[in-house]
Amino acid sequence: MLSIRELSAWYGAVEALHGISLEVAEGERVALVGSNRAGKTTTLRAISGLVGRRAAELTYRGADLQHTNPYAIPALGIAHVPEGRQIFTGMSVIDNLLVGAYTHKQPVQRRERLDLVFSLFPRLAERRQQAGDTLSGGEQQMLAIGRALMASPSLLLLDEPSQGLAPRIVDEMYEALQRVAQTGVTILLVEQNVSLALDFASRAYVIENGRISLHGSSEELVNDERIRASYLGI
Amino acid sequence: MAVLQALVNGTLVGGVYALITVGLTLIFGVLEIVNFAQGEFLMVGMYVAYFSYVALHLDPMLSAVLAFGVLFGIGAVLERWLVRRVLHGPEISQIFLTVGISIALQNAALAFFGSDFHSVHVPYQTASLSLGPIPISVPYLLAFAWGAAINLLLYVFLVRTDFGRAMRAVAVNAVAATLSGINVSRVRMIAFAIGAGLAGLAGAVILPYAYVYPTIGLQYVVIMFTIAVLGGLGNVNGAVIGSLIVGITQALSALFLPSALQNLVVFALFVAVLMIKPSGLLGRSHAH
Ligand SMILES: Nc1ncnc2c1ncn2[C@@H]1O[C@H](COP(=O)(O)OP(=O)(O)O)[C@@H](O)[C@H]1O
Ligand SMILES: [Mg+2]
Repeated sequence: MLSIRELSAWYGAVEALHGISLEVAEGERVALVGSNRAGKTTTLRAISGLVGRRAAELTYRGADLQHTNPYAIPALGIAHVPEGRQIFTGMSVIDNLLVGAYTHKQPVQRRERLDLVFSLFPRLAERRQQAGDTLSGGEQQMLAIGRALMASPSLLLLDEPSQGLAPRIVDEMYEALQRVAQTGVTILLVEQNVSLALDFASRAYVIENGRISLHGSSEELVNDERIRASYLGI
Repeated sequence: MAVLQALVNGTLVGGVYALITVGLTLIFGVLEIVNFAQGEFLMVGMYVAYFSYVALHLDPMLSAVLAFGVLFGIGAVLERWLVRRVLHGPEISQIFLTVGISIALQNAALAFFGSDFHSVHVPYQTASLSLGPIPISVPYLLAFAWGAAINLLLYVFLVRTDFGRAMRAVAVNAVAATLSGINVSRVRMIAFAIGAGLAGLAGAVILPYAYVYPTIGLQYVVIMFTIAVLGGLGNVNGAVIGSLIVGITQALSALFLPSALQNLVVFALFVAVLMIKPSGLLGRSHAH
């Protein structure tokens, strides 16, 4: 579904990704893990066209993302929940969600998506008229995910959804993500919390200094000595 | 009685100021650029209404729509070819660009239309209605009505429509807007065009009680900036409140002070507000 070969990305003149390759198949749950500043966020930003990038291949269901305007990528079926949530400040929960549905104008479809998001995250329904940036951290993360789901995506890119949240909230959120995955949405998950990511995903890539250093099934990685030592602290 | 009269006049003038300022506020809110050419957009709108009157006997209250259209087009072209290039540049180049556009428009007006003062003659020019004992000037009332209608329309547009919501989203977080599938460049172009169009419309509706000449924009740009900053730059509601405050302050101070000192009171108030709350009355939060 998503094919990436030899992807490099730049911030100005500084190269942050040095030719990474990564594959996500329909219906899969794939994790991209690594320590701080390894290049996880940059990888997702490169997929969405938010940084300068070049690749031998960067395609989604056959569409060449390198020749697609960044704003046109969501309409292809990719929704990106960015690092740090990026809620629209001063706008209500419902308005944040409706902006997420910008590419889907049919009222019936919107109604259905809204019902789905509210059933996944009932607390958003209770707070629908409240300004998005006045929500708690966990609720803001749910709003960011809900906003992405409003676009009826086939592929969901998640950038550290657990960041800064209490363990109980993280559990709640991952339960909701399980349910999203069960509806057939493919997920590429970025996490610094490696055990959480390997728990959720069936396959994972490890990124270090802008390069993929290791990849395999979550089972293999959990039992890998290097992973256990450097990321799981076992 | 005089105070009541001043309050009514001040409210009417304030409503017109709200119309004049709202475009500037919208442009700043969405593009984060201070448009120093806004006064000249108003001037061009006045000429559109003036020539519509001369050539077609069109009432400025109607040619206001035409003025909006003309300035919308000019605004779209200027954004597409010039403003867009400096949006991510240093502030100084933004200032040079919009000041440059304002000077160019002034000189173009001077070259094509000459430096004469022009005005229109409409039947209601000196008419007034009476609200109890208080006379209300009809041209001011009509301009106020346009101001109220436009601010209401803009509010509904920003709050109720998809495109308006997208505009607010772009104003607060362009990256997240892009990730939601919004063409940020296009939204900015249309926001700039609407902002310019509203200045043109404002120029038309004030023509029944104002003269048009190439540098008339300078007279209005000072009041625009006072109000926009007073209300909190980029905040449309703040601009409306700021407009009413400035209108009423001017009208009330006219009762006690010689006209030369009226604006002094407005500026004293302006400085006082900024000392107490530097972000303006409603702060800069988002575009509504
Ligand atoms: N906006 C930016 N400008 C310049 N360099 C950046 C920017 N964002 C990230 N980088 C650099 O790119 C590299 C990868 O960062 P990032 O993708 O954010 O890592 P991660 O998400 O894995 O923590 C780091 O060296 C970081 O310093
Ligand atoms: Mg990151």
